[in-house]
Amino acid sequence: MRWTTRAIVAFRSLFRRPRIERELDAELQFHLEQQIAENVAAGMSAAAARAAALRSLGSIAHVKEECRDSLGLRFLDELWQDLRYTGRTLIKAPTFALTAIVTLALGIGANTAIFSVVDGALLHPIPFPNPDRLVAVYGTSTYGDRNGISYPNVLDWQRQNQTFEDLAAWRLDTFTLTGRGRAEHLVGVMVSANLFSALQVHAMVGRTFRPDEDRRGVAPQAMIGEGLWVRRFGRDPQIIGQPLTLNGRVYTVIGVVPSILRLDRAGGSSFANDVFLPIGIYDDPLFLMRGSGGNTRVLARLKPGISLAQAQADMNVVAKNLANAFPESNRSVGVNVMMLEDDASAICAACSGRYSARSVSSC
Amino acid sequence: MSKPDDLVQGTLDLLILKVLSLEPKHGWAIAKRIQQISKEQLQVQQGSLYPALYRLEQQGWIEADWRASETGRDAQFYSLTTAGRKRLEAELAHWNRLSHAINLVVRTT
Repeated sequence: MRWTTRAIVAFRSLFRRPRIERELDAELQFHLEQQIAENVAAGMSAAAARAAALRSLGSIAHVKEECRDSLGLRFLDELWQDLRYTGRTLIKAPTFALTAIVTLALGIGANTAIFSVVDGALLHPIPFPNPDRLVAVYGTSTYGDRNGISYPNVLDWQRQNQTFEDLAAWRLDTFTLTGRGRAEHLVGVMVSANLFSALQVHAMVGRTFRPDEDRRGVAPQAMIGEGLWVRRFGRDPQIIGQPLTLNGRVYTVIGVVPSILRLDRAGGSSFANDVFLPIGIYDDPLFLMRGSGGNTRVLARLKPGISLAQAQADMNVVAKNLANAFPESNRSVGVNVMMLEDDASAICAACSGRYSARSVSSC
Repeated sequence: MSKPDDLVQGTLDLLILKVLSLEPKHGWAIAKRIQQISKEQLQVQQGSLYPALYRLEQQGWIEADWRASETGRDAQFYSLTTAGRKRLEAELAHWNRLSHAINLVVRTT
């Protein structure tokens, strides 16, 4: 038998071992009795028949050993003996054993610790300045504690909170790009103007949105993602100021967003961020309803020196005020503030790989 | 040829498979059947028989189950699997070639 087959057989036999041993005994016993019966039938006395049978069968122990060998059990017996021998040797030399164990433990521990830190801090860090002040802010309800929130509520969060430098909103949507040769289906993200200051991301080319561009009734502006810029426009800086037709509406390109910023629902969907539009120009009636389910997501930057608990307490007050002001829609809407770094299930974020690779059920 | 050690290497497997091709048998009956058919020329010892049976079972050529024997006692009965049947055909063909070749050499003087 090849060694792999033997290993499999031995492994299987290991768990069936008590049964195998019993069966082996029973089988050989049966054989012995048949031989005795035959000898008796041939005219021997019971004692003589038994003695003759035992003689003709040879060593039972040897036969059993051979059978175990066929099953690969001998290999295991020997392995067990070796292990016991190893154990005895180590007990006899406790200093050596202890040194070896401590060395291994420290080595493994140190490696694990270092790799954990390296993985978090160096391989997949949040790629924005002062990430320890970045938080995700969710709505809570009886349905869960990481819900999106309606846009009118986001606007009130922005106005009423005391603890955030910037509280930014975003939502994913799809757009059809036309008017520039081949039409293309794009995934884009609508963001509040302060998203870039919250994350402290700057445009690669051009500029980011100004607050006064983030509302309805102004000439629509758009930023494009680095990916689209490379793919469709060959990194042409002249794209700034040109018109871009999305879903039949004409936008003016004002800047290019570097690809370190990628807002995504977690769960491996891995949506591109090809275009960025101001969220405030979106006029879908459902989107503007306070009581709508709300698929707007929120990222925020804590003011310096503000702790997560302080921010949470602050937002609890805001949620309570809104519940009083709009009981019909907000009676059971709470707020959940989480460090972006700890938000393993994040709906969002920004850091390709780190968040989007993790799964989430709530979105 | 009284001891299986004297059998041509691998022949015991062939004999066991052949005997089992008719019907399932327990170890004792397999040994007896070989002895009987060979007119007492071949005596399969327990020490060779059971390791061979266990080996054939692990190869998947025969399978074992406990049934009541003719004496009423439970015994481990071995029967041929589909793979075992194919194996038997292959071994038979091999044996026929081999014995034919040996006969040719032995008889040609």
